[in-house]
Amino acid sequence: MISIRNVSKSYENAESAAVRDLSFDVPTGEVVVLIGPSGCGKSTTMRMVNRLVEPDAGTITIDGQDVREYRPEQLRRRIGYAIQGVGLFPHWTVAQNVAVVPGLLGWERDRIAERTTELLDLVGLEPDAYGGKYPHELSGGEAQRVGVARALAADPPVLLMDEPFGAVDPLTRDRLHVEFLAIQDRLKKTVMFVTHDMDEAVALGDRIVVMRDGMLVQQDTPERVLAYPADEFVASFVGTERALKRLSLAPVTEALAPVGLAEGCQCSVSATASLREALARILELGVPAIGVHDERHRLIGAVSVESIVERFKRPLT
Amino acid sequence: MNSNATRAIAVCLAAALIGALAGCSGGAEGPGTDEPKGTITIGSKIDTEGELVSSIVKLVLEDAGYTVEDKSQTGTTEVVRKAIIAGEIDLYPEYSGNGYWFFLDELTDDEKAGYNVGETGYETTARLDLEANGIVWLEPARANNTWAIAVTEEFAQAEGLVTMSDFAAYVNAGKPVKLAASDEFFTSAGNPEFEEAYGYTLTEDQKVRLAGGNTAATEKAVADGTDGVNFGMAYGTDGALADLGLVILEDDLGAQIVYWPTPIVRKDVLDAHPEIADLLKPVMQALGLEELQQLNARIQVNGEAADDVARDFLENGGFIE
Amino acid sequence: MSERTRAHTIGLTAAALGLAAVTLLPFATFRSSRIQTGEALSAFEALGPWGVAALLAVWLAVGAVSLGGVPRVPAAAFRGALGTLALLGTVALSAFAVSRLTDPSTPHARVSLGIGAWACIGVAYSLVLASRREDGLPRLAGAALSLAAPLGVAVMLATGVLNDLAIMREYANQSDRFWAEVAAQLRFAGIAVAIALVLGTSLGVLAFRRPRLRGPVFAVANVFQTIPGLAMVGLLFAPLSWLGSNVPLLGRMGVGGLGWAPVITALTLYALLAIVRNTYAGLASVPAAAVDAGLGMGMTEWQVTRRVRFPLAMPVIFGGMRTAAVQTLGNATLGAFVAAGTLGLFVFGGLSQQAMDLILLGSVALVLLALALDGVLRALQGLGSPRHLRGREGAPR
Repeated sequence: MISIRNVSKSYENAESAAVRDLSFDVPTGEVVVLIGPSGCGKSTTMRMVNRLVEPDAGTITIDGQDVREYRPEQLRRRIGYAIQGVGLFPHWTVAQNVAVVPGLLGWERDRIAERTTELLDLVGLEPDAYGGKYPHELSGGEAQRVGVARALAADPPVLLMDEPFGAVDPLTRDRLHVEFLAIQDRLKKTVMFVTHDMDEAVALGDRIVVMRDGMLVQQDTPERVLAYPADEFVASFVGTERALKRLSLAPVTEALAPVGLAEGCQCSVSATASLREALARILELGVPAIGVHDERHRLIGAVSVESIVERFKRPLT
Repeated sequence: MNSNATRAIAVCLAAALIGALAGCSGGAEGPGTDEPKGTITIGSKIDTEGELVSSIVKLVLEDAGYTVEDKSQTGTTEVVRKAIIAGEIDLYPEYSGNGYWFFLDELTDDEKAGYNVGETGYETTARLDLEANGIVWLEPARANNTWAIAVTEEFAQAEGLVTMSDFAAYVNAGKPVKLAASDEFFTSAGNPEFEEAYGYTLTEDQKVRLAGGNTAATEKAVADGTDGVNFGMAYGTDGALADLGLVILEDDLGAQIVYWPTPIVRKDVLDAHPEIADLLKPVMQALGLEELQQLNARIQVNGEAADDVARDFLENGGFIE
Repeated sequence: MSERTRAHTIGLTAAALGLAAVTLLPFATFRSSRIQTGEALSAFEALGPWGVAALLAVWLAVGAVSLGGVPRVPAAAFRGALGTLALLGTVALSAFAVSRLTDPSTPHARVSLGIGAWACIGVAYSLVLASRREDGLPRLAGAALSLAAPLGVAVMLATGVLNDLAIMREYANQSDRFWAEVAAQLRFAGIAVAIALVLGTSLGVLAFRRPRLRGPVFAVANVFQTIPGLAMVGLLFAPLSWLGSNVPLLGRMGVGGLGWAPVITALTLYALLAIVRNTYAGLASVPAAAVDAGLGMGMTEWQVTRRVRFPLAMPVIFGGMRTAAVQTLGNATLGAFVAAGTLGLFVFGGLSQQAMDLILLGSVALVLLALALDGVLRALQGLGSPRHLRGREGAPR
C-alpha cells in the first residue's frame, strides 16, 4: 500500500504550490487514478513516490517503509514506471528494453530471457516476432505495450503509470484498457495511475482521486464520483454525460426485468453487457424492451428503459 | 550493446592511431639533445636565394658538429625579423641594403648616400643593427642582388635596350610601357631611385602591381607577355633569367642601393659559439654574382632541392667533406 | 533479379563528359623548364591517334552500357569496371605521352597532366563510386570496385611507370622532405583533433547541461572560425613567443611563435566548432522520455549517461569528429607560414617559384590524403553504426 501523508511541493518561480498538503492511500492490489486538469499536480505527486521529485514536506511510505530510507535507484528498481512518451531506448531491441530492470537487479541471463518472453506474451506481443525488433519499427500501440511489459519486468509490487496509453487512437486505447484490466486481474498490482481523461479513469480505477491546484478535491469509487460529484468543479470535470458513464459501469443484470416484457422482439443482449450497451440497443431497435441471454443463449430476463431508470434511481451503498 | 562497444573501440583506435604519430617524432620539433656543440636555429625568407644561403650555412655548421634546427622558409621579411629579435631563430640570411629601410629614420644623408656602395652600406647596417638589436652581421657574399628591370632578349635587341639610361630614353619617347612589379618596388624602393636618377616618370596605367616581392611572377609575366607586360621587376641574382630568355638592364648610373646577401646572427649566440663567423667567412667569400645565379637557377629551373645544390657547391669548394 | 532498365542517366552523362574532356580539353601541358608557363596540348597531340582512340573507345563503351535494355546490376558492374579502366588508362597514357614528347636532349622539359586529363580522372572515379552504390551489387564487388583504381595508381607509382611526369619529377627532387612533410601534416592534424575532441566534447556537454552557457560557448567557438589562418598564427606569435622565452619548461618543449605550437593551437581552435556543435546536437537528440524512463526505472545518473545518452549521441558526435578531422587535415598546411613545414611548403614554395607542378605536388597529395582519411573514417563510422539507425536514415555504409 502506498501512503501519501501531508505531502507538499513548491517550485521556485511558480506562483502557487504544485502540491499542497496532500493525503491519500493506494490500497494494496488496487488501481487508484489521479485525475485533474493540467497543472493540478497529479504527475508531480506520482513522481514523488519514486523520488524523481522530492517533496518539501510530508511523508510517503510504501508498505510502511518511508521511501526516503532507500537509495533512489534501489527504490525505483522495485517500482514499475510507465510514462506517456513510453521512453523506449531506441538503440536497444524490444527484448533488451524489457530486460533493463532485471538487468539492473542482477538477474541471470536465462531468467531474464524467460521473463521477457513471459511478459511479451502477457501484453499480447508475439515474443519471437517482436523480441528482436527496434522501437522505431513498432506502431504506437505496440510501443506502449512494450512500455507496460518493461514496467512489469521485475515483477514489482507497485506500478506508477503516467498516461501510459496517451499517445494512441481511441480504438487502440480501449483495447489496451481491456487488456490492462485483464492483466491487473491476474497480477493484482498496487497501481497509481495518472490521467486527464475521465473515461479512462472510470474504466480503469478502483478508486478515483480528483485533484485541482495541488489539492485533493474528491476521493471515491468511480460510480460515486459520477453519481455524487463533490462540487461544481468535479461535476464539470466529470462532464455532462456522467449519467451515461455510470450506465457503462453497471452490468445489465442489475436491471433485470421479467422475460415477458421482451415479447415480440427477436433481439437480446448478453448478460455481460453494460446497461449503457443495452440502452443503446433498445434505442437502435426502437422497441420498449430487449431480452437478456446467458452464455448459452437462453433468455434469463429482459431489460427495458424503465428498468434501467429504476436501477439508476437507486442510491449507491 | 555490442555495436556500442565496437564503436567506442573504433573511435579510440582511430584517434590513437592518428595521435600516435605524435609520439614518434618529437625529435624534429623540440630542441635537440645535448650535442657537444649546441643547437643553432636557422630561418630564411620564402624565396629561392634565402633557402639556398640558409642551406649553405646549415650544412657548414652541421659539418662542424653543430645540431641545426632548420626553420627555413620562415616567412616574410617582417616575420623573420620578428623571429630573430624574439630569439625564435638564431640566424638567417638578410640583405645589407635592407638596413637602409630598417633604420631609415636614423640615417644621416651621408650614410644614405653610402648605400649605393656595397662596403659602406654594409658597415652602416652592421653597426646599427648591433647597437639596436644585438644582431651581428657576418661576412657577406659580395653579389649585388639589387632591384633591376628585365626585358626579353628579343625586345632588348629590337629596341636597342642595354642600360637603364636606354630605358629612360624609351619611356620619355612615349613608347608603350607596361612594367610588372611589386607594390614595394613602385612606392618605396627600386623605382623611385631609378626615376630620380634617370629622369623618367611612370604613369599609373604603365604599372602592373603584383602582390608580394616575388620576382618569379613578374619575370614570368614579362617572358609570357601577359596583359601586354614588356618590362618586369627582377633581382640581380635571380636564377630564372636565362631560362626565361630575359636580360637585365644595367644600372649604369649606380642608382640602386647595394644588397649583399649576408648571414646575420644574434650576438648572444655568436658569443657562445664564436667560430661560426670563421666557418662562414670563406664560404660567403666564394659566393659571387655568377655563382649565385647558377645555384639559384639549379633550384628554380631544374627543381633541385636547395640542400642538394648547397651540398654540391660546398663539396666542390672543399668547404665540407 | 536483374531487370532491364531504361537508359542510365549518370552513365550517359559520364560518357558524354569523358568524351568531351578527351576531345575538347587540353590533355597535357609541355614546358621547356619547370618555371615556364608551357603550352597546352590536345589529346591527339599528346597521345597520337592510337592513344586517343583507346580513350574514346572506353568512354563510348560506358555510353553503350548505359543505354536501355541492359540488365541493371551487371551494367552497373560493367560501368564501374570501365570507369576504373578509364582512370587507369588516362594515367598510364599520360606517362606514355611524356616519352612521346620528350627526349634526352631536353632534360629540363616537363610534361604534366592537363585539365582534360584531370577531368577524365575525376569523371571516371565519380562513375566508379556511383556504380558501386547500385542496389543489388554484392558488397564485396562494390568494395573491389572502389579500391581497384586507387590500387592501380599506387602500383603504377610504386613501379616507377609515372616517374617522368612533371609532378613526379618534382617529387623526386624532394622525396625525403615530401614524406617528412606528409608526416608533419598528419601529426599536426592528429594531435589537434585529439585535443579538440577532449576539449570540444567537454564544452559541448557543458553547454548542454547549463543552457545559460550555450550562447557564450558557441559564440567563442564560432569566433575562431572567422579568423583566417595567416592572421591566426600572426596573432599567436607574440604570446607564444613570450611563453617560450619566459617559461623554461615550455621553452624546452619547443613552444614559441614559430613551429608546432602556433600550428597546433590554431588547428585545435578551428576544430572546436564542429565538435562542440555536434556534441551538443548529439546530446540534445537523445529523447527526453528515454532519459526520464531510464532514471525512473532505477538507473543512476552515470548509468543513464553511459548506457543511454552516450550511445545515442555517439553517431552525431562521431560525424562531428569526422568533419573536424578532414577539415583540420586541410588546415594543417598553415604550418608553412610558421616554419613548421607540412605540404603547405610545396604549395607556397611552388607559388613563390612559379613552378606549377610543385604546387600540384602539394595540392594533389593533400586532396588524396583528405579523401583517404574521409574514406577510413566513413568505414569506421559504418562499422560501428548502431543497428537501430541502419536502413533508417541512410546510415553510412
